[in-house]
Amino acid sequence: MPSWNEFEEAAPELAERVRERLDAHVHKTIATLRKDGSPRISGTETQIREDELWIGSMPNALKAKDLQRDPRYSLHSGSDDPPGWKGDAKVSGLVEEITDPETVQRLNGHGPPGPSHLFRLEIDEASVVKLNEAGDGIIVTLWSPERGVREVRR
Amino acid sequence: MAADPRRRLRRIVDGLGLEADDRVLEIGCGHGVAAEMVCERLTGGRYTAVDRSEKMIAAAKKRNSAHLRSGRAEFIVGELEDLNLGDRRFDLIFAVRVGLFHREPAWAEGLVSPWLAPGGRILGFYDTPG
Repeated sequence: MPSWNEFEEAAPELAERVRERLDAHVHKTIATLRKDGSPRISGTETQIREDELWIGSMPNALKAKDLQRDPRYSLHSGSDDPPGWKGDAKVSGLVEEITDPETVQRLNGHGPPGPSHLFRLEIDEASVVKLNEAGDGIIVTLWSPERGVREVRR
Repeated sequence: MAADPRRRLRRIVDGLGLEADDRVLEIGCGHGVAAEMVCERLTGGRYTAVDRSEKMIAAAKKRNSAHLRSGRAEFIVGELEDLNLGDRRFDLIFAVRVGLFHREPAWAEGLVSPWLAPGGRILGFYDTPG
């Protein structure tokens, strides 16, 4: 599954917009799957470093346990309140947990001391939604590795 | 990267039920880590890999240069949608962490089924079972 870097190479303009929307707010939300298959939503921070998209978490956080059991995730950017809404980004795919202590320390080192989880996010689908020029409809620009970039107006 | 992905791939390849003379196709081979594990298990068969990324195919070829030279393995740059594998047919077609195979398995299987030998199998994984 494509890494952030591969997504960026395949769809540079959309990747830039996704990055801008992810960076616009510190707090984002991530959906994971519970043991019974029902969805769980959690707060998270993300970072794009070393050409990869990452999330960290406190040890044994429920979202981390979910991701260890089932690597599927959906991430939603933070969102501005109207009338200044600049659009939202969404990214979905599979995580890869990284347990190599040196990498965990390098990527999570800015967080609280002590153990933590580190997940690299692989990207199977990414999109940005924003208002159209007239402000009376939305434009969704989405990418998947199979279909490339598409635009949907509603 | 850490050893974790390698361990996961090892468990997946262990569970493929490979026969030594299988003709195997992997969709989305990435760096060719599973390729190496599959080739080690083949004595009479052949391993073919397809990935859309030239960069990944180059890395996979480098990692598997011995299998490439011996003719055990071949690596092809291509998109699943317009794959042309000539008269090759496979006893096993598998994909690891290729979104299409778990998001839209029926479509993915439809795309690869023309390359299946009689009695062949298609397996898609996004993670180690269990």
